[in-house]
Amino acid sequence: MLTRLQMFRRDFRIFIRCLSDQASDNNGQPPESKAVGKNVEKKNLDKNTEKIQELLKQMLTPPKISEKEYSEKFATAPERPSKRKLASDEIEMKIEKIEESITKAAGDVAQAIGGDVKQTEAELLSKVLGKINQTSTSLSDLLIGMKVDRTKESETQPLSRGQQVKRLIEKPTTDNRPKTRYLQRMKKDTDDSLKSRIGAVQATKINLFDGEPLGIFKSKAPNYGTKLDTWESLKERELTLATSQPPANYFQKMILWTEQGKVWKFPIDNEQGLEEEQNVHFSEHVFLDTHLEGWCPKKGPIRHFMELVCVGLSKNAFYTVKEKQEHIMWYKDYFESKKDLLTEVGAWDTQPIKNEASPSNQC
Amino acid sequence: MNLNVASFGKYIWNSQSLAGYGYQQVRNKWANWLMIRDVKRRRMSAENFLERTRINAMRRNDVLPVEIRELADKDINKFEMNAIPLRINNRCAVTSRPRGIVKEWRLSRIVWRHLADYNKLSGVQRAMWG
Repeated sequence: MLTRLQMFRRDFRIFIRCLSDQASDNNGQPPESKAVGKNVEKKNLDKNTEKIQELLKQMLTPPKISEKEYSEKFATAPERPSKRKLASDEIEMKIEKIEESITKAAGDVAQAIGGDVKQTEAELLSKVLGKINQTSTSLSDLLIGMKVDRTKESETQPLSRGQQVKRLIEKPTTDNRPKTRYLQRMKKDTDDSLKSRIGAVQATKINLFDGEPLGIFKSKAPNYGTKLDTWESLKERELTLATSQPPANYFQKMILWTEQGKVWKFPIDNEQGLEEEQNVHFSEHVFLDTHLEGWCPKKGPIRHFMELVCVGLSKNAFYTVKEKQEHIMWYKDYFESKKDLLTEVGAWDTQPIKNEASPSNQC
Repeated sequence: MNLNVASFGKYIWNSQSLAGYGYQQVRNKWANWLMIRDVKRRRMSAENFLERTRINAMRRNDVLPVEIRELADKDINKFEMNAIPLRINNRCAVTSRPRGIVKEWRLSRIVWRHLADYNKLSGVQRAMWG
């Protein structure tokens, strides 16, 4: 910890040297004391500073109660490794060190320039730090001096537990900063929204339902063209289940079965459920030779074959009339596509040749 | 768009080839790949049934001239082998077992017996005599 602090110190020294272009020769000694001394010398020791010095001295003296005694006397929280706190401490130290070295550097610069030393120093500091008023030189010096002194107190000896606790308690009161990042962010946001972002927020506020609709989607349609078959069927099923009641007795059950088509309806009809072919006469099923007229040769192997096909179809109880027709028409298309071959063979006879060839084919 | 998506989903569901390959694994209603193969054969033979039987009828007769029958022989070879109904194998609809099928229920004897034991098959009664 200490070594790291020293490292930081060196770093800042280098940084400041770069800034001020002046060599600082305080290696190994606490720089704060020197800075304080300088300040005090410059100001010719006002009463205030004296008081402050005294206070500092008091603070520098070791605490009367050792840590052990303290822990015995008071209930203290169990020790836990809090890296974060250490880190924050480090950062604070860093900041303080920066301030201190800046003030020192400013003092050096002012001395080097000459003239009104205090005035120049104050100006420099106000330029750098940006918060102290130019005119109130004495006050600014005093404040800076106080800060430096505090760093000294914290650095000269490792903080005792009680002091640490005190500091932790004091922190929120001294600098009104929330502890966690989240709270910080929240506070920042609220502040910003209150101060600067009010206009922006109002500008980005949009009411979705204010504008004029484009009329692309009709709000009445439930699912813009999407068909959910499963959902619909399930919905229907649920509806029927909700409305229907289970049959109270066997007669009701029979009625239900009849409605569901599980049992015959009265009067008994063998063609129940054959609605498709209801208006078709059976002769259309049986006499299919009419479909051969117009395209089939009157005699020959093709005719023979087609007649066999018609007989077979007339006995088929499973085809509809339309399917039977399609069957015959398929053969018609097939034979007509093979017309050349058939005429070559002599099976697809034209009218005159057929008349001549008929006696030979008849046997 | 939505309709397309729905039809695509249906396609994935209904096609055996996609199930479990290239996409998220789909749990389908078939027991194993043998059953899927059988389903494919059944489907294909059903699709090509009419045309195939018509051509086959021209092949299997001695009425038509030989040239036509030879043509029909060529035509019937143009169909896929899986369109041949002879390739269809009766399998159990639940377990895909190829043997011991109770034909009327299309179930293997084991599944059938199990269902019958729990009174799940209508019209099936335990044999009792003596």
